[in-house]
Amino acid sequence: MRIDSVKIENYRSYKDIEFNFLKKESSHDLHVIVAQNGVGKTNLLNAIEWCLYGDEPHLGNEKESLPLANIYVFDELKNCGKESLNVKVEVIISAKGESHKIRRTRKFNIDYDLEKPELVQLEENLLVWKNIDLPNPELLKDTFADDLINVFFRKDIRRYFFFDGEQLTSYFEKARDSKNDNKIKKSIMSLSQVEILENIQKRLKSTLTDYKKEAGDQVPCIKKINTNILEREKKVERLENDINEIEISNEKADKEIEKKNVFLNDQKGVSAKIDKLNELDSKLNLEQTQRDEILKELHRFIYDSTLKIAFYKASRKSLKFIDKQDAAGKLPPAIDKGILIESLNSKNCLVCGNSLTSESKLNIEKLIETYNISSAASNMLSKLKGSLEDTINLQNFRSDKGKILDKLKQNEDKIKKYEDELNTIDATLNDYPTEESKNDIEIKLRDARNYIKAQEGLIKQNLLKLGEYNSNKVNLTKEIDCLKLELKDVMEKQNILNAVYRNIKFVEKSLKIISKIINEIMTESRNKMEKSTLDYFLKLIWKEHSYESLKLDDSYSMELFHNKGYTCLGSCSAAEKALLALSYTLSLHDLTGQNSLLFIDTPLSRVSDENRNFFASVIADISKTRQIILAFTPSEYSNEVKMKFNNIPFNKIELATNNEKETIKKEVKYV
Amino acid sequence: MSNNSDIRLYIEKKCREAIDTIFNEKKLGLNHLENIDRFMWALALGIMKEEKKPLTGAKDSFIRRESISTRNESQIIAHYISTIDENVIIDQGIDIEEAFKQAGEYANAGFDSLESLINNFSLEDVLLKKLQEITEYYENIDS
Repeated sequence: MRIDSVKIENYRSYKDIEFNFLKKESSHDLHVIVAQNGVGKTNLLNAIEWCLYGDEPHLGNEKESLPLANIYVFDELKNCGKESLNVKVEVIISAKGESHKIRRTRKFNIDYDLEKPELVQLEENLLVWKNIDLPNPELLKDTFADDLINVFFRKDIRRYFFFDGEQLTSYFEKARDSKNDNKIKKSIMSLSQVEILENIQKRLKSTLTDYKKEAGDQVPCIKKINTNILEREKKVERLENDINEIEISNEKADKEIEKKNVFLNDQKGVSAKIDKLNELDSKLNLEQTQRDEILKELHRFIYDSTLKIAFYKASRKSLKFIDKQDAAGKLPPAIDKGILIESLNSKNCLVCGNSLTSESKLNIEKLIETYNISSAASNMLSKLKGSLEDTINLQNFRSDKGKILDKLKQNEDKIKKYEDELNTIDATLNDYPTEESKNDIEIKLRDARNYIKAQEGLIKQNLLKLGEYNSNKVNLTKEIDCLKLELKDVMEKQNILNAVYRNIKFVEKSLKIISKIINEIMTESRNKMEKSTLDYFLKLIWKEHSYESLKLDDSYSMELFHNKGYTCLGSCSAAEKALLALSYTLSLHDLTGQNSLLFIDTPLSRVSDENRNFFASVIADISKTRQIILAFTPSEYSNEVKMKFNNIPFNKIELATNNEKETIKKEVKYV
Repeated sequence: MSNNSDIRLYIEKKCREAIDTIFNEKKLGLNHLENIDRFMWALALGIMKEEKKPLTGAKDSFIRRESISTRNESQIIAHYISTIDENVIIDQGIDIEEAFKQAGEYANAGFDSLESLINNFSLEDVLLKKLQEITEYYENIDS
């Protein structure tokens, strides 16, 4: 099937335009649209998808986009006082000699009651005219219209018809979102008519349950065994669902870890530098704390030394004076001179109370004459002597000072060294080509590491659960097998070789055969798709000797193998992934037999110049078998591509803007 | 001579305020020093500079004699003794009150010099200057 024409009215950058993708008798069905970015290529792709499916998947953030209706048309209508505006996209498609017209419209009212007139969305309509070449084409509405579109362009695999070159790399990540969202597998099953077999399988399972119930009703113990089998089978089914969920969760976690690791590796040593930065920071902090302590020690030393040195002279002088007095015997014992005088006057010793002899009187008179310094001063001087002696010891001043200054110097040297290293790393990080600050990078790195850790934890937990579930499943399966044997015995013993038993055996056998056929078809489809994808890829890719094989798993997720045997999808460049996605798409078309068109927006945005000729060759080849619409930017539509396309017939439409208000056709070249 | 228990070290009130600023705001990293230690340091600085500053302004009772250790009191008195005639001590004994008054005057001068240093230099510079000063003083101590 192909698109014959697209007619657009008042949709986004388009006011009134018609694209004819005619083929006539040409050998190739190739159509090239060339337009600068922002002129309307993606709007054309969105217009087609909006017409078919009612949404615009290539819009990005829809909330921040301009309205669906052309804003300049809106202005014109506003100025004329018109009350409504209609957006219309009409696509004519054809398949197997029949043409159908699909038209989607959305009506807007212009609300003048608001402070600033605004568009108010009213109803949206989808109409499909079937077989428009007939005199009275059938008109389909609502779900009937959707159904007809779905026959030609299945919505669930639409991105394999309408390609966005900018988002090609995401094609692999979304191949298997979850068990219920495996759109590719579902589509293949549907298109390969496996769906029909699956429906038969479901019906047979239900019939089997009915027969077993019937057999159970005849013999109660059979009923019991059947109930046991059924319970266990349900448990196994639940376990299989859980196991599948866990496997998906682990796959996702693995991919997330890989992404984060790529991010961490991409930082080109920033991570290690930031680690070093942090290490140096903490060392510097430690040295600065130590410096404070050393300064305190220095201050204490200065304080103690100042006191000792300042009082040194005075202390020495005082001690000399005291020593001199002491040597002269002028420092009295602890006897008060006044007591001596009073004892002499009273002729009685005031200490012992005895009368003084003439000899005692003579001794006291001698003492009074000798101790002519007052006893209070004498006591004071004696006390001074004891405490001053250690204050005049300055022997260790030089060595103590040297030790502290050495410590200070070592500390200063370390601080300088760490600061120099920090500055060097700082300068390197400042050169790092990012606008983000180091803090931002640091936070991102830390987050990435934490995220990896969390995902690894999740995988670990999942693996534990998986082990438990698998073991439960094995046990239950064994139990089911035993119960089935038991059931067989019982039925044979009961001699119930009646019609019910025969029917059960027949349905069980049929189910086995159908399962086998489904598996065979799906395996064959997968094998075909693997081969075809690899063939396309090797044709498209310039490194034709690097890749050896390609595998699709049960959910059609892809793995590419290097010729050395390693899996290598993760390390493919964006361009390689883009080409791989295209190969996958083409083989999906082949497999589904839809022979659909392929509309690719900016197909070469990620492919380098030297590889564009390969791409153009393959596309030229493919256009012999199906319609290809390519929307290029002028730089993508390079000489390499032009040279390839110039050898074949193709249509070319060049787009431009009319004062940036409207997309128009600047040049049209039909074959 | 006064009763010993009434004897105190005095400094000027404005000097007291300067001490609070110098020590309590951790400018010297020695905010844990007791008042007597602060005083003794200022006294030592005054002695080294051989500068006295009479307590002409409002006086602030700074430290009671009981709060002074024997060692510090000995240093105060030793310095006093070193400044007066030996015979005065022999004849009249040691005038503690006078010794304390003189110490207050030297400390006043010491605080002054410390304050101007602190206001004009960083802590490290003050310390290094002080270290240099005491080293020079030490080198010439026996001359």
